[in-house]
Amino acid sequence: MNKYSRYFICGIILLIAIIVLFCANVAMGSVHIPITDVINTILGNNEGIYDVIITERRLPEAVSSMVAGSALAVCGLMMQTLFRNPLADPSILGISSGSTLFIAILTFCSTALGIGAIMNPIWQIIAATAGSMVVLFFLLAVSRRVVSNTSLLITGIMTGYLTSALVSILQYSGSKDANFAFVMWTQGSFSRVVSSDLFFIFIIVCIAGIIAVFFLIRTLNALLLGENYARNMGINVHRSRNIIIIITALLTAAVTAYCGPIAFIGLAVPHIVRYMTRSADRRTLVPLTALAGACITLLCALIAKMEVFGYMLPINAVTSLIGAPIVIAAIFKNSSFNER
Amino acid sequence: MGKKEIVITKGLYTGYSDKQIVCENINAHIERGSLTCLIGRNGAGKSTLMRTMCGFLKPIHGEVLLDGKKIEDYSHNALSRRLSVVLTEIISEINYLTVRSVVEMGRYPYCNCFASLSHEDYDIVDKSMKIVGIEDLAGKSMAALSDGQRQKVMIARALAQDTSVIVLDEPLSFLDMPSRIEIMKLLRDIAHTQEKAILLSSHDIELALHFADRLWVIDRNSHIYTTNAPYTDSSSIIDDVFGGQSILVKEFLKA
Repeated sequence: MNKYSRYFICGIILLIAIIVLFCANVAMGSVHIPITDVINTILGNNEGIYDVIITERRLPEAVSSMVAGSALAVCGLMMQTLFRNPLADPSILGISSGSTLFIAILTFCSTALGIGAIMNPIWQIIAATAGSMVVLFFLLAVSRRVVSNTSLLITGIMTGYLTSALVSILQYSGSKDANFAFVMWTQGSFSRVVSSDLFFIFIIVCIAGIIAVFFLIRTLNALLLGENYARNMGINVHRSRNIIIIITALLTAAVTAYCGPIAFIGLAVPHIVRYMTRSADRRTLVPLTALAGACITLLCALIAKMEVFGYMLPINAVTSLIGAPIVIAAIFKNSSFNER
Repeated sequence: MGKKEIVITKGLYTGYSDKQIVCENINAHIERGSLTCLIGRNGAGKSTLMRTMCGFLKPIHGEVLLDGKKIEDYSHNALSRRLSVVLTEIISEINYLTVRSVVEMGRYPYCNCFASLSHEDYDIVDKSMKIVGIEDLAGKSMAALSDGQRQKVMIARALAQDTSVIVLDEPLSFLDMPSRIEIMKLLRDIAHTQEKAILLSSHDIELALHFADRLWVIDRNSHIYTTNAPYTDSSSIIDDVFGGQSILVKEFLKA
């Protein structure tokens, strides 16, 4: 029972941290909003001067960073379970590189045609979704042919290399303007889509995907024992693998399309949670990873906004700066746990 | 309960394709309440046969009948409620799991997709750990266990699956002699007291002769015959399995 109360406390701490960071995210920005106004507006009883900024910009932005982080984190956990590899994350299947390639094609072709770099979010979302879907269907076709997860993993990594090679060719031949526009996109941002109607589609897709992962908890746990054991526990391994890939692809596609290729959250968060709980049981890891993903992404978004160097930092740089040391620390601590 | 023979092979050919047949025309069965041991040399086709018995490989010809129905006609879930397995592979992924959560996995065929167990499930998990004698280890992490203890956990997991048949592929491989004896004794007791049909493969003939109620012997020509305890002709069994080297083995066993 002691163990369960520990998980429970972890959950409570994460929830409190999410609420605090969420409010801080809404308050921080080019205009600093007093925290009382933030709370009042969230609770829905304020007609103050900041009302419009909060509801139109800050709240959607905070919500999208929370949901995107949560989605990437659970994807990372699924990939690490499916491929039985602690280095797997949503980008490992090449799905986000598919999005990146299509965004690159959109940006560079539009400049080459002389109509100026298309930075319209709607076109970007369409391109990014198309890119990830192309990779997804390719992977599903491969998955039907190959039996082992390792072969699938290697196919995913190779797809990633292939697309990044194509992207660098585009970058090399592209104009200065197009390169700048493209680099800006790769930096990632949670504020890109808040003004568009597509925002709700993003939120719905992500939340539906995250909820779907909860329905896979038994499958993920069984896969820890390997495919043969999982099969003997009544799991249809092949079908489960396809479902896991489709959910990961949809979530990754949604996040990449709306926020850009956000690095590191998917890889780092499951390690952090595993370190926190000292458990591999997906019954605890799935909910806690979803919470921790939201929490850490909010923290990164907040740091990005704090103007440490006098200006806002790109979110992608912050997630890597925060994520990498935490993963290294968790691995060091875990190896001592391993020997015990 | 019905008749004792629960798994029957009829004219079974095992292998990976028509051109890669490993064992031919196997007609054998396993019984409830008895420990059956498949013995043979390394590479004689033990693993292929075991994988076919688990339903992981399809028979090339012939059939494996479980309760009178072909094993490949069972759905994943229906099969998992009738036949559980203990495999050779060492799994590092479960190092951070507690013994209890590994044994709880045995209940997965019976529970919902969130893997939440009922009170009845928890009772069965407790009972399984008690039968195997690992109830004191319940809260420990798998990484802290010895190989013998890990194997017991996997046996408890299979027991929790509450199946009439348990198939174990080389469960003794990584164990030292005392643990081997302990596991064999445990398996025999489980078969006798829990009315399970247990099939295990091993190349440890001496232990098999000592503990198994029935033997499936793969001889050096990859033919399979069965024999029941007591084994009056144990030296001819050793001959069949090891061929020319049998004299050495017998000397070794005497010493």
